[in-house]
Amino acid sequence: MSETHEASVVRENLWMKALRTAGVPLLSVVLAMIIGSIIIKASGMDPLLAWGALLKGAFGSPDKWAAGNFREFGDTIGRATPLAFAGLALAFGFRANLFNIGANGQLLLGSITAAWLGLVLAGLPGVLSIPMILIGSALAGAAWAFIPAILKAKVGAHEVITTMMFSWIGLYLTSWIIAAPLKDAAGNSQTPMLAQSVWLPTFDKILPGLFRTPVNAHLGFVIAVVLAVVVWWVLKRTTLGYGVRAVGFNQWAAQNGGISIAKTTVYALCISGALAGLAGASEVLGTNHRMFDEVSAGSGFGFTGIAVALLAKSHPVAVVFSALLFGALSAGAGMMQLTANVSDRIIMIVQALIIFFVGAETVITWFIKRRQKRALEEKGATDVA
Amino acid sequence: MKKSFRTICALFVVFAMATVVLAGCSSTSTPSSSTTGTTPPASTFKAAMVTDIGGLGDKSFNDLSWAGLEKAKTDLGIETKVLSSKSIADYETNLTNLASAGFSPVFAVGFLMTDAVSKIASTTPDTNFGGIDIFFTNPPKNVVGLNFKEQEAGYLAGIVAGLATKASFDPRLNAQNVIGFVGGMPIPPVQRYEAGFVAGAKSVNPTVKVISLYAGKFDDQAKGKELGLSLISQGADVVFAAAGQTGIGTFTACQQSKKALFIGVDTDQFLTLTNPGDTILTSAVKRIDNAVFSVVKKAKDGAFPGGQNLTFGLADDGVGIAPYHDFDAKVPQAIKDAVDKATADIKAGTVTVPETLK
Amino acid sequence: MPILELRDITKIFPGVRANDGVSLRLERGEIVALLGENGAGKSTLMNVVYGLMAPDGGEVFVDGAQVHIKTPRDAIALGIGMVHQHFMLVQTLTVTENIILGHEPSRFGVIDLVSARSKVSDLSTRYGLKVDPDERVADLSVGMQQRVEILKALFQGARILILDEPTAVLTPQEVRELFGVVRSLVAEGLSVVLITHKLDEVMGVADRVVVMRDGRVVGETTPAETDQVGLARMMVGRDVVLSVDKAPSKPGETVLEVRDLAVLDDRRLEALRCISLVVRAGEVVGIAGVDGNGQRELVEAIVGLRKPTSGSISLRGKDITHAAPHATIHAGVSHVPEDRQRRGLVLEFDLAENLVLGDQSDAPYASAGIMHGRVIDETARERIADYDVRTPSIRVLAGNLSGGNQQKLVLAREMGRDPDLLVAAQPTRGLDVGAIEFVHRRILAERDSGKAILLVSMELDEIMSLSDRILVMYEGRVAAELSSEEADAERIGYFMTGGSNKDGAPLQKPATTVAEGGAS
Repeated sequence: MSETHEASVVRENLWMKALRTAGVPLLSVVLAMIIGSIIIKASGMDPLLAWGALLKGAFGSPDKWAAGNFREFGDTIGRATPLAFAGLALAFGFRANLFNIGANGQLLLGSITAAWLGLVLAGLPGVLSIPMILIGSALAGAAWAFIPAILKAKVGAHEVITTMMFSWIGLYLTSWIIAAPLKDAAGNSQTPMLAQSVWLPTFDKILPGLFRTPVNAHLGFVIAVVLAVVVWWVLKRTTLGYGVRAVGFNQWAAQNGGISIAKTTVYALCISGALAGLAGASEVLGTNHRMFDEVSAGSGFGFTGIAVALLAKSHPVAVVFSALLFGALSAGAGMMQLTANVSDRIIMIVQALIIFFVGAETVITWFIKRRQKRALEEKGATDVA
Repeated sequence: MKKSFRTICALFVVFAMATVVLAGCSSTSTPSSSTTGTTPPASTFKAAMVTDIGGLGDKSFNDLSWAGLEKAKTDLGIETKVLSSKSIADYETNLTNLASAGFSPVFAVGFLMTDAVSKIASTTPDTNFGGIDIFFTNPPKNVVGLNFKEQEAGYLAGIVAGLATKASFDPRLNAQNVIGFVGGMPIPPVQRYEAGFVAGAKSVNPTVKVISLYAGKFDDQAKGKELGLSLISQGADVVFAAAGQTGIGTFTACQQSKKALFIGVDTDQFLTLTNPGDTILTSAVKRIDNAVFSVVKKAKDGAFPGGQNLTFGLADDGVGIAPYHDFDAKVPQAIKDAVDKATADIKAGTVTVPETLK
Repeated sequence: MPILELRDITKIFPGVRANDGVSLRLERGEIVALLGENGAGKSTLMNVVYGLMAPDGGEVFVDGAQVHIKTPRDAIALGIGMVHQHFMLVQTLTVTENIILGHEPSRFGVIDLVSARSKVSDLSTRYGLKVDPDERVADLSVGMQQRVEILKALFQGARILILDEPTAVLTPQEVRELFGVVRSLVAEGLSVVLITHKLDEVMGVADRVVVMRDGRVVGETTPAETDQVGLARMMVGRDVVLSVDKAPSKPGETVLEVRDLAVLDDRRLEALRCISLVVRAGEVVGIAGVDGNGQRELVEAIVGLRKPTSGSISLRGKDITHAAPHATIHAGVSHVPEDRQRRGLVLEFDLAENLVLGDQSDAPYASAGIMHGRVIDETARERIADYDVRTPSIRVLAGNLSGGNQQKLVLAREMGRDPDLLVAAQPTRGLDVGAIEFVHRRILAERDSGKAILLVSMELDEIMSLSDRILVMYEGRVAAELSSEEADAERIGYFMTGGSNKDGAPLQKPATTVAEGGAS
């Protein structure tokens, strides 16, 4: 009897856990949209029209799909791609209990490396040059994370401070490189356009039968998806991933089990940096085909990546979906401005609210528990009756 | 394993739910993209613009471009629209959305939109595009670049500065015959301002010393102030700053030290700075509003000036010099006359202002 | 009329009925022991009484009148005081300041420290709770801090005193003194509820015993009517073997040799001063001592978690003085850490993942950096069956197991590795009688199979019943080495508090204080 009781308790806990892991992101998105609607309504606009426009701007419409026109969906995927890489970077760090808040700096180093290698390797065929550039960018991102990692491992300097400082250094370093040695002849704030040989092909080039008009979605997204699965596998099935998770959950027990916290920290932060570097490379090779000065471009993918990873609760495969959601929100914002006259700032508010609610998980689980308790009480009352 | 599967499922469900729910909503939205809710006749002429990440309210290029469109709305009775951008990824989306909603011409503000305009223009040949401060290489028929002869505005500012430093209508003007220039970054428009400023000053005051300093960025007021103070300490009593936000710091340096007069840039900065009356002599302005209006007007008349890069100068009312405002009574007539003469000469073509420093 | 009466108290946590219709009476001037295994619901019940948890059902009466206690402040107003297992004192304040904290007597808006101080010393002499009112709490021993907690409750006007596991942190002498204090409190008319799971304490001090199991009261008795075996049966629900039968040890070759070891603690103060010891194959060496006398640092140095400043450690002649944990594991050292939830387990890992911790990168569990899930799971199932870990599946997270099962999990992993040396720190802390019995049997079985075992424990009974040799640690040194035959609680306790081996005279001031406290 006690055995079955214990089993049922465990099962109940699993369901609670499932509700927590799955329900919170869902609830957060819904709650954020409800509050967003209230704000839209309060400013005198029509929320349904607004969300409808957002959806149209993010996914297109059936008649367009029938014509092989996936421009809007391609825009969403294109925007989701750097977010997926950056989200993976943050998620990997989170798994080791590291907050790589300066991922944006590593991303920029990846971008500038891609912008430079793309020029240098323009003569090679893409099958050779593109992998070399991607590896180079990953290494650059990892290198930018290495010094904060070493500082953390050796003297315990907190990575939030150090990676953030390196993020600023990266911002102005790349800004200077773009303004001086890698300056475009046409003007300032951008590097020269890369040769087509190093561009990541877009979906309409890969599958012309399905995508009959040009789309922004490019091979980088496929790479991000594959990488998400690889990261999941590494975390789950390798000794490195085991160590990362052990240190992340409980460094004291990990240390007692012979896992070096210092080494694991360095590996984890550098891998996080490499993933961030790939985000930069994918943006340069796949979307812009050059690098814009971040000071004027203001993309901040590394920072949005924090939100993406939080919403995905640091699960690498969930990161892809989380990135798609954020990509859709930002892709649809323009259409929302255009047709519903709703400021794109509303979307920023919704994004912020999603993060707020994910962060307020404890509050939400508290609500869930309270409801369960009330249900239990009501059940008890009927039992008595 | 199970946990991860559930997380993925959950996110997928969020995604799917949003799609389904909102697909329902979107069918209720009117087919028209009009903001008034009434379907405009197909013949309605619609022009629009996409801001850079500065957005409206920048008291500079975005606001000036929008002013041009607003004027067109009033004077020509057209429909207008502005979409703001949060990052460079938004440029392409916004331009495409406006094009597919039937807006033409669509203006793109700022150099960073060059790639986006070129790309979208090639896929939507029926829509016309205008690029503010963009110089296109081999622009197609539906694209026009709107550029400005900053050197001509700089030249007029140089005349004012070159004569003022010799004059004594204000106690801050010293006897050292030195004027200063602060640039944001050494990019072509700023360099044109500088070249014109130097040429203008030398044309009326051949012995004047012009000191130029560059901040390296457009958004650093502290640096602007530092450069301003440096110029003042070297004897400059009139300072012209073509440096965006950085220039505001330079203005502050002039105002607080009480040792120099300031000349603003792009817009009439008397109207945008805080309490500038005691320090701002005038501003070298770019009339982006006039340029935008003129392109819209031509387009409405069926003569969109595509396939070229236009440069707007004094002759086209594309650049100019702002009023003296609080200094109007103080500034000697000789200076005003010299500015008027130079304006006439440039318009007549008898004087050509150099684009670069010799 | 009982001073405190509980009727049908029910408290539900998700999935568990922590209290299920519990009723309890406390008469004036009575000591009631609330006895039960960990998780039986004793602390939950008292937290309800003290206003820390809201009950889901039931009624509370004080002096015959029904009351609703929502916060500790309500409880204090009704004359109920509680001394928690973990003290809630501000380390940097003095005894007086701590006692008056929250109830500062004031005159003209200024805290009246003078009258507070005199009230505190009145209370302390009246009840024999000798403590210097001006001493900083940080400078007091654990036993003294407990007195401060009791004084604080009395100062707030407590007539009913709840003591939650009060002896867990005390030396035998301190326990005796505490019970002396409790008796004098009762003589003054107070009533005491003593929460405990230790049978001997119940027999020694309680007037009445209420036994709880699985959230219910399963019996009520008096020490006169029963004995320890009877109480244990009530507590566990079956017969329990309380004494460990052990065969005489057959010590073999030296396995662990620690020589002149010096180690610093977290505050970089000297925690171990030139300590030397030897553990041979087939023997259990027990380390006794008051918490904080270098035991933790000794264990951490041996397993590689702490770097020694001088001296040497060797295992079967191989030097492991500066080895990191993974190296000591490979050398044959297994470690059952004192805090299983912090050091022993990753609570967010499932059982299989926890069982491979320490061997995660070694064959047959992994090769070339890739882990072999099937081998890991198979081994996990074997170990779980072998060590009787109660779980429906190896996929359950360690954090969802009970304390006893968690400890079995740690033992299963550390012993399953077939080490030469097992370092076990507080292996039965917080476990119930049944689980303690299991752990003790397994430790002796390992000894009999020729392992060397170093046992560190605060529980003297455990040390005495398992060890073949006993080392008493005091201030980072071995104060005495006793054979299991010559060791008894009194002797060990004497050395634990600084007694010297040579002339029997006290070495340190704390011992003097203890003597005075006992006399008054």
